[in-house]
Order: sequence, then structure tokens, then C-alpha cells
Amino acid sequence: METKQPVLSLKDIRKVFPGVVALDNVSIDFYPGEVHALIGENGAGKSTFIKTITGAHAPDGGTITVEGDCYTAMTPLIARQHGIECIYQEFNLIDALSAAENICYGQKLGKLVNQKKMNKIAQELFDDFGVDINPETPVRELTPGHMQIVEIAKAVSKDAKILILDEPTAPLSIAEVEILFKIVRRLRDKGVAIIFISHRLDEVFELTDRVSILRDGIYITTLNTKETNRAELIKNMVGREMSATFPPRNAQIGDVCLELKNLTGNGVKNISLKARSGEVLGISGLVGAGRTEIMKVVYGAEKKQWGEVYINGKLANITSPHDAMHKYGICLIPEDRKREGCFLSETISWNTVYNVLPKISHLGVVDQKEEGRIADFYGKSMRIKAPDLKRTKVFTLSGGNQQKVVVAKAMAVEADIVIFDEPTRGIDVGAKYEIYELINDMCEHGKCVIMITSDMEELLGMSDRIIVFGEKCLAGELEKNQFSQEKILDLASSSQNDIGA
Amino acid sequence: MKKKKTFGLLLKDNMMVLLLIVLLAVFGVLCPIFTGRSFISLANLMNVLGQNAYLFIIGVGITFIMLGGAMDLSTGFILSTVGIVMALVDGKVGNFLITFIVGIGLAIILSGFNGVMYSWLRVFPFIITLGMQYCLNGASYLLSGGMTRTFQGLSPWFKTLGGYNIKFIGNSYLKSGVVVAIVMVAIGSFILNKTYFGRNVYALGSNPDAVALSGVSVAKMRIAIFAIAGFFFGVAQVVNIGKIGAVNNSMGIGAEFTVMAGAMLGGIKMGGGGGKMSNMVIGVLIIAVLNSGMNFLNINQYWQYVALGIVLLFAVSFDVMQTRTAENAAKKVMGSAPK
Repeated sequence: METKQPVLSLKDIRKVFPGVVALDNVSIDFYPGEVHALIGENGAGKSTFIKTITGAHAPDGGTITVEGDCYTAMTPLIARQHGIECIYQEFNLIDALSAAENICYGQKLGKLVNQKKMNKIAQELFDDFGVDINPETPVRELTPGHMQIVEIAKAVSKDAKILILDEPTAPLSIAEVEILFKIVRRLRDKGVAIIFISHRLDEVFELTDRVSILRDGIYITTLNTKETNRAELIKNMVGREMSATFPPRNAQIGDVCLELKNLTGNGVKNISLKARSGEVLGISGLVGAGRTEIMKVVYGAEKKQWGEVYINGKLANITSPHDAMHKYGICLIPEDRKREGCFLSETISWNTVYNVLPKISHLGVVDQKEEGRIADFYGKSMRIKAPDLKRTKVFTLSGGNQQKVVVAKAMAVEADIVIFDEPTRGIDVGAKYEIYELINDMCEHGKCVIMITSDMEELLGMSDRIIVFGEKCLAGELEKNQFSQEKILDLASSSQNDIGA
Repeated sequence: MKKKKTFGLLLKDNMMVLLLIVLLAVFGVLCPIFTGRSFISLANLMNVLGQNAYLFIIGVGITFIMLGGAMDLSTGFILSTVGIVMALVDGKVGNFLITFIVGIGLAIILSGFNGVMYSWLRVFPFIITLGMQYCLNGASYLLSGGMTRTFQGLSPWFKTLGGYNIKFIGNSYLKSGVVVAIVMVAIGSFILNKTYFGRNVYALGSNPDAVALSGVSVAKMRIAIFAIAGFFFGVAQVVNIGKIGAVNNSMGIGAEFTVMAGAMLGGIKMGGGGGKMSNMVIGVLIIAVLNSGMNFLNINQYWQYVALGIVLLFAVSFDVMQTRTAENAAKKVMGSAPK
């Protein structure tokens, strides 16, 4: 293989986003006829790397050489001309059109739409893949697995030389994964270079020839898959330096205040866990493992299928977020603050009191003095930096200050159990530290903080205990003395059949 | 430098007030030249208000609906149906209080039904209110015996509420409908600005997902918003009947477009999330002045449509430009490029 020329070669690629170095001098070669895995934790820079190849991002430094042509930045058009095709997790198909029409979309097959020719092209591809899909079926009637095969067929029909698969197995059943792998191997044997991104390490071993590891935007190494093992990969993926400091906490850990028993709903199965007052319970797991989903069930925003929630030892019947907040003292600070957390076009004080309006209203009329008092109190204690709490609209604030408004809005409820989903996503270092202090403050006041986070440093630095989610189920629990990056990643990246039920 | 900026901001915030003043000035100059009569006399301006009073009351309802992130195409037909029913009840019963309660109640039920369908199906209310529009268009004629009918000789209370002329300064008259409109706008502003419910109207238009996560029932809110709007629609038709002194099937039809156009013109955001009652008032005023000014000048009806369309397109472009400027300003980073 080493005698071949690489079809795609990235050299010293650097990409900086405001406040973060997303890629730091990454160099990787990709050869025709190989399946090359790209692995790394959440936020290691895989997506940015892929987007650099497809031309969605222009790198700040380095070169990209495709088929001998050297570029400082790709554009989607150049990428397409060189046969680079990427299949993302979200399918990029037109639901109402047939499989064949999707495959031939954007290709000129003569002056008019030629249904017969399209069906023939599609049928040949499906026969070649060995799958049984009717080319005339509208895409919306296909299973996710078949949709993905249509995506791959679409890429192949455009003569893809480099095929990027971004977590292709996530939406598939086990049988569908088998079919996918068969197709991938067939394409590899035809000389296509395949870049395969997956969180599931066993798939990496089953399918790939070589594996490259990214960590915090830095290229770590490339290994031959046959010559390595799971432990070595995990060691390379983590091993990050713990540089951030965390404010100290003097909290008394008390009794269990929230207990889940076999809680099931929103696609997540049989979650049992306990959280105590005064502690930070860290919840880890890969994105999409069901962490947020189950917490929405606890919060009453999604329906419970079975299982029980106990608050302070008593069985709780939470059927709506209203129950959760006002009856049981649970509040949730959602991960997507712009979409779910706050009202951007309204002012800070407006947002702060939103959840407690019934309490500060007399006969439905809002007591604006009380509103000012509450907004002032939380504005000061959260150190929200804004010219005027009553006038400043939230969309004009920085990410960190927006997050503080979301926290203030949740805290105003005076809940005892605070579910924090990605508390520091997208905010700068200084603001992060302040959010950590807020969390500590909550614990010192005897509140129970459940912190869902994809940030490994934050998880290890802030948690008293860690629960790790596998795929839509519980993978394990770690006490403080068992904390290690390797263990967490090992638990999180095992697939469902490893863990069992 | 700083002073200039504040002036610019003031101008930006009150652009539509400025437009209104410009329109008044233009008609003020043109009308005496071409017709020899003055447009900006108190008597005439009071008349413009009196003729359009019911539009402001509809506007209060439409403002609730638009701020809540929805729209309503059936308003005009709700007015028409309610008008016919009130005329029928008035003829049969002869008691204004009963007529009034039946009319307002029907308006609340019809509009509330829009809200129920919206909450249940969760599709954009365009299609729901369009369906309602067709149903009511038919219903109004079925109720009046399958033809256009004009009902006269209604209870004098209608006139008292909508068409009674109160002596004002000099030779000008204040129509009772204007007083009702002022009261309705005041009630609407109070609900929007001061109450818990009003907060939720804004919240719903701004971010329905966050509303749901805050434990407020989005479905109930939507039904309530449409029902409240229905109340204002009913009152608007009472005032409208009082002004005209009769009822027929076409009364009110088309008002929804005039009012929605006015509300958007004034600065109420389509799709919710921003605007005040005063925006609607200014916007509807602009349209009222534009229409009556052109009538005054005897400008052909069709040219009036063209003018209205141009003003609306201008307002939309202005609003879009303003939003884009704000978005671009928010994206700007402080400091200068590294050397």
C-alpha cells in the first residue's frame, strides 16, 4: 500500500475559530483502496477536518493535495470535481422524489427528464451493491438503512474517488450495518478511498485498514488497524492534559434526593441512578447516547414509558415541566440555549422572571417592582454584564452572558434539583469559570446538580460521581477514586450488544 | 458625533411616525391645490378616525394573533357572519344586550375554533384560517337566505356604540366608535404589557419550544389568543354596524388584509416575537390616511391599491434591512486586523 500515491493528502492544516484552535497542523494521507478510520472524542476536530476536505471550511494554513493538484483551500465545487463525496448523519435526500431520481439528481442525462435511464442507472447500482431496493420507491418510504444506501449510490454514480462517511452506522440496525459494510468493502476493492468516522471502536476494527486519531485538534498518530488494539486507541484518544483549573467546593453531600428506577422513555431504556443533595453528578456519554433525552423525561417534557422517579424518597408523578418545576423543584437548563433556553428578543429581566410569573402576578397582572427586584438579585449574583437589565435584550449579549440569563431564569424557580445540559458549551474561558462557581454555589446551598457534559475536563474536574451512558442505556458508574479518561471512553464507546441489557 | 447617533436611532425607531407625518403633509399641501378643501382640518381628521375606528379594534385582535406567531385569514368573514347573526337575533329578540352577547360569543367561538384546530393539527394557521374563511363565506349567505341581504332598522344601541357623533372642538365631531376603539386599544395594551398572559403571548411568538419547556401549555395559549382576538373582532363589527347603520353580507370582508398590512407596516413582526400595540395603531393610521387622502383627491380606486401595495413593500424592505443591519452589527468583532 505504501508504494501507492495518496489520492488525498492534507498537510499542516490549521483552523482557528474565535477562542479555539480547532485543528492544529494536522497532516494525514489517504490512499486509494483503503478504509481509513478517523476517531477522536467529541470536539476533537473530526467534523472540522471533514469540512476542510469538502470545502465547507477554508483552513487558515496548510495545503490540501487531491490527485496531484495542490490547494490552500477547497471549495465545494473543486471537491466535487475531484470526486470527493461526503455522507453526513442527516441524510441529504429529497423525500418526495424516488430513489432513482435522488441518485441522478443534479446530473444531466439529456435535455429532458429521462425516467427510464435514471431507473436503469439506479437498478445497476443496487444490483452491484447486492441490495433489493425498487428505484421507483419515493425516498420517504425507505428505511434509514436504505436511505443511506441511496446516498452512497448517489455518491458512487457521481464517480466518487474519495467517500467520507460521517458516523454512518448510528441510525442503522445491526443487519443494516452488515449490508453497509459489504458495500463499503466492495467500493474499497474498486479503489475508492473511504474515510470512516465512528464512535464505535469495534466497527473500526471490523472494517478499516488504518486508523488516525485526533485529540483537541491535534493529530496524534495513524496506526495500522491490524497492529493495534482497543486499549491503545483509547489511550491515544484521551491522554489529554488537564490544564483547566476548577474553583474549590465546600459542599456537604447529603441524602439521595433524586432516584430513577428503570426509567424508560424518549428512546432510552431502563435508566436507574441516584443523585444526592450537595453533589455534582456528572453524566457522560457520546452525543446521542440518550443523556439529554432521559433528562427530558425526568423533567416531564417527554413521555415516560415505564419506570419510576423518586424525589426525596417519595414516588413522583411528573407529567409536565410545570409539575417538575413548581411541584417537585426540578429545573432544567437546556443545552441549546437559543432554541430552548431563552427568549432572545426580550430583555434580561423579562427572561429572568418568566418561569415565576404566576408567583409575582396579582390577578394576572405582573408586579413589575417584584420583577425588578428578582432580576436585580440574580443579575448581581450571576454577575450578568449588561448596561440595563430592564432594557437590554438578550440577543445583544455574549454567549457567556446569555448562558447566565438562562441559568438565572432557571434559578429563579428556586429548585433543589438542577439539571444542567452542557453548561459551558460555546462560552469563553472566563465565563466558564464563573459558571463553575455558580454550580459550586448551588451545591454549597444543598442543591443537587446533574451535569450533562461532553467536555472531559469539565466532567472530571467538577463531578463528584460520574454516570456513563452507552447507546440509549446505562453503561456504568464511576466513583471519584475511579475517575479516568480511559475508563469513561471505554464505557461510552462500547456498543449496545457489548453492554447487554 | 454621539448626538448624531442618537438622532439616527430616534429616526430609525420612529420611521413609521415620520412616514405618517410626511403623508399628512403631502395631502395637506395637495388637497387644497386640487380640490380647494383642506385635508388637515380637525373636522376631516376626526372623520378619518371615525370611518376607520373598527379597523383599530380588529387590529387589537390581529396584533394578539401576530405577536403569538400566527396569522388569520378568516377575520373578515368572522365579522360578516357575526354581523348577519346579530341582525337576525336583533330582529327576532329585539333586546340589544342579548344580541350583543350572542354576537360577541359567536365571534369568540369562531375565532377560538381556529385556535383549537391550530393547536390540534399544529400546522401553520394559514391553511386553517383559509378553510374557516370558505366555511364562513358560505355560512353568512346561507344565514341570510341564500342571497345578499341588507338589514336595516337595527337597535339604536348600535349607533350609540359606533356611529354617534359627539360634539368636539369647533365644527368637528368625535364618533362614539373612536371612543370604543381607544378603550379597546387600551385594554389590549394593558393585557400585553402588564399581565402574565401578555408575557406569554410574546414568549410564544418568540420561542414556542422554550415556552413548552417552561411548563406553559402551548396549545391552551394558542386557543386563548384566538379566542381573545375573537372578542375584539366581535366588538369591531358592532362598531362597524353602528357607523354604517345597517348590516349586509360583505361588511368586514377584506378588513383582515388592511389590518395585517397596517400591523406589519407599523412594525409588528410576521411570525411573532416583536412589536407593540402602538405599532399597529401607527400602521393602520398610515393606511387610513393614505386611503382617505387619495379619496379626497378623487384618485381612482385601482391607483389606490397600487399605492397601498408600494407602501407595504417599502415597509417590508425597510424592516428586512433593519434586521439585517442589526444581525451584521452583532457579528462584527471588536478591534482591528493583526498586522
